[in-house]
Amino acid sequence: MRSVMRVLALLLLLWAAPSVAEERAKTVLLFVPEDVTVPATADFTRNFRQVMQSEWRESVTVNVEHLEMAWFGSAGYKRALRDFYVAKYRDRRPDALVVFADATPFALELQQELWPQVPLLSVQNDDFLAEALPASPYVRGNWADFDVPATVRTALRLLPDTRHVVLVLGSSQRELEAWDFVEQEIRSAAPDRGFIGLPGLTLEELRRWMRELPADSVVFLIGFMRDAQGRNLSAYDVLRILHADGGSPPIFSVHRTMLGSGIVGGMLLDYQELGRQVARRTFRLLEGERASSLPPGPFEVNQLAFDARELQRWNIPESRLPPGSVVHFRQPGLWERYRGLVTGVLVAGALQAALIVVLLVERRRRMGAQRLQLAVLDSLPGAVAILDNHGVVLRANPVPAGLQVLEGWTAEALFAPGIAYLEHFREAARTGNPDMAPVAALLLDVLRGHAHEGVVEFRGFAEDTWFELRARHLELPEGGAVVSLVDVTPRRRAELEARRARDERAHLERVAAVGELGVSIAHELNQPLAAILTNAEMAQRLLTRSPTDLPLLREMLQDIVSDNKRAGEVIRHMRALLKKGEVCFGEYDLNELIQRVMRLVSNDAQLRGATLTLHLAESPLPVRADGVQLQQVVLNLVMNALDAVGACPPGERRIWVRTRPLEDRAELVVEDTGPGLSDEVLARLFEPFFTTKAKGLGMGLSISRSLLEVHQGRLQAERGPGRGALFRCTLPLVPERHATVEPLAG
Amino acid sequence: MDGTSIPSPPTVFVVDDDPSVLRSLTRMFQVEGYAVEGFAHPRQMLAHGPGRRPGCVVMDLRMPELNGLELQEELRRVGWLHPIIFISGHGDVPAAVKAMKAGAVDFLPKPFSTGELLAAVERALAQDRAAAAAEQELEALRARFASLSPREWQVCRMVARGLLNKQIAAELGTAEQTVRLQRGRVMDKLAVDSVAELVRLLERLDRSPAANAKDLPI
Repeated sequence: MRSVMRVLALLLLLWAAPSVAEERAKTVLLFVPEDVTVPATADFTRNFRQVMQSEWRESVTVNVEHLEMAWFGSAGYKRALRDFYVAKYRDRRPDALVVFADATPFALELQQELWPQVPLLSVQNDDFLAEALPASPYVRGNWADFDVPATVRTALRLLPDTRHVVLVLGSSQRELEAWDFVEQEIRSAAPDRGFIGLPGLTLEELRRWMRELPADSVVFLIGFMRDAQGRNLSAYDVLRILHADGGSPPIFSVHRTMLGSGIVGGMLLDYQELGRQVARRTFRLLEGERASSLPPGPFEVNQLAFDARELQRWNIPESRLPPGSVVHFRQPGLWERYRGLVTGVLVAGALQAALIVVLLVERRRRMGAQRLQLAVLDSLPGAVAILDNHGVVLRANPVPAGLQVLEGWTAEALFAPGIAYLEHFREAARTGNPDMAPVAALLLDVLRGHAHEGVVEFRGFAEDTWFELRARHLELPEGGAVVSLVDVTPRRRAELEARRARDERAHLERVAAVGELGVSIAHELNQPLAAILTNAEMAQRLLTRSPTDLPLLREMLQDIVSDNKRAGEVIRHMRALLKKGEVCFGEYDLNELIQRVMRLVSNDAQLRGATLTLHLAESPLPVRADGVQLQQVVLNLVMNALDAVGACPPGERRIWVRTRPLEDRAELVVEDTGPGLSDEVLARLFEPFFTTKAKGLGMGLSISRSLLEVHQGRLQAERGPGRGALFRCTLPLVPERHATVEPLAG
Repeated sequence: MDGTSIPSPPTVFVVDDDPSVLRSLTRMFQVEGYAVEGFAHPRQMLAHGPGRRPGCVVMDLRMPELNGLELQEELRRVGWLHPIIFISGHGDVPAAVKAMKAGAVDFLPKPFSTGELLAAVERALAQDRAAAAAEQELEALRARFASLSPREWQVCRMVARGLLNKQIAAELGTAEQTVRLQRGRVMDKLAVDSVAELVRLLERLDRSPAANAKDLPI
């Protein structure tokens, strides 16, 4: 995971002109204590790097070193780490050192030893830690700390009926040490409320407590790095579990990373903003300013932020929020909101049409009832019209004003007796609105009796509006039709919203998957880079010799060109995979897509000691698909299999990937020798957030399945013939006659 | 190359599964005047068998089937003694630490500059030469000890333990006069003047890695 950053840095390096960059680029060395998977670290590092790269006037190299101290904290590890950095940076003096939190003591020692005059900026969690740093012209300590009292005061302002405030904090060493202080902060910010402390709980006990707390409580979840049984967790994970359990009182916190997963909000520390601010302060060091002349004191990165869904859940009006508050997640699913309305309108529309037909049929026997029918028609709420066999409006009900259906034509104007309804749509289709052609075609078919009934959806003239037109043939000697028009804009928007959210999720998942592959991609890129550097340096040397060995020189230059192309290919492929955006269908050979994914994962498989065997169909399997999405499905399945076989002893980690044509579909099977699927897992496998992995998001398979649905594909899980799992996926084959396979768009 | 054997140019053995990296490195070492042998697969190198000409090994840390660390172990097992320099496409801290602990001379993350690699190779070759010289000296020492008869060996060991001629004679069941003669021959053959010197030589022999029961009967 650590290598994601390195890969990105490499990409950036490649885009910059390498020779110039080598001479002039400044180098910043960032030490962070933990792995990049810790959310706060990830937010901080990513934003620090982004600002460094985009706002510094020249090119700058940011090297990030994750010390992973909480996981491998032995003295021996520190010594080895120190030896390693001494070797690594012996000849590469950075221009500034930036240190995050607990990495500080180690980085200070390294500074002393290697670069006593390189300025060091340390960002601590607490003011006293920053102030305890050694006084030196080359060291500046700042801090960014949590504002628990402000969070408590805000919670009480939002929920004034609260009678109990509850503190939840885990059992890690740091949290135990912090307890008294935090308790004091909460007690003094809520002087006249009861205080309930929940220290030293296991996760199960905490979950039970949450359900049994008095209804008028408010919970402050400050941290939960470890539970009483010594299980390593994170407050983020715990929050998600509590949220899924339901039944807990409103929860507030101080971490921006937790917003959106079940907290109401609070005065939240934003690590992204911290990364940006620290980067900007680092610029001053790069400009040559002394560390000691940088401003002392805290970084102001706390912000009052709230989750709109939680505010709604606890009936907190936004008017009660303190000034300056930011509310996130304001769209609680348009489709959910409008589903009832839209379905109602549709049903009403159908009922209207049916009713009118009934009435019109009646007309033959009971001409005298005509007036009644028309009265009924007038009373209908939607836009309904009766057309004669030429498509001219005979009669229509009064329509709500304002909806512009065609250019220059509101629904109101269209639904009026004597209007050449059909003609207006045909005209619109002729004059360049292709959306109207199916509408005109449907009307024509129904009027001529070729179709009994039909529905068509089209885009309205006003931007972002959609209508549904339903037409039904009238079984009368004189012919004609009943048409109803419904504004389906809310439904379409909800659908678009849902699709956008899914694409977003898929993108994130892809980024995560590529992150997991980071190590092997770095390797993939470093190979050609190493060869290029060696060849280029040797070519330079050869040029100084006489006689110059021109054939050898030519050979080297040729190799440089081909290695450069190879590196470019890796990057292009990465970018194609990471690209977020519209679904883009084309025809692809499924085998070809699989081979592309294999090139990405084979290194990783090798690293994990797994054997990947490909049995691909001999002839191409042309499918109509979004190449990137389909590759993602394959990538997900193979990465899952790799994770699954990780538990097996070396030599038994095997994965098979097979394809074959199966009647008019292409079949892909991914089978592994992992521990297999229990009944319980099999039943829940495709549910969102269901995962059997310690670090998994639980989204891979659910996204894969929904991506495949877009492709008329199916994905199912089975028990393999061996003990492992088997995933079977099928897609429709493109019929033979126009099976021309396009190359993958880059 | 200051020894008695015929001097041959040092050989750099390069192992990398990436064809273009392998080609660029072998070409570079050739241009720089080294003898080079390139292997695209760790197994090829193992099949090649250990050589005792001066040289060093440059190998990729991550390769199919056998990774660099495993190959390092295998090479040592089958008798390759050349110093090893690792190159790696990813700055993997734990692997680097492991490699260094297992006796690698250097660890260079890719991409590295030619200068860095050449400097590392020179360091490795210097180490190899020093090891070869020590080996030669030890060889000469062994030859000297090998000229002792089994009985002289026994006497030699006992002298080194600090026993008097009388005590040795009693232990071996011979006359003190005989022991004195044998002791004189031992000092002559080993070309030493004092017991202290003899003890020092024996210690060096015992410390040498190749010391085993066949060479040292007691």
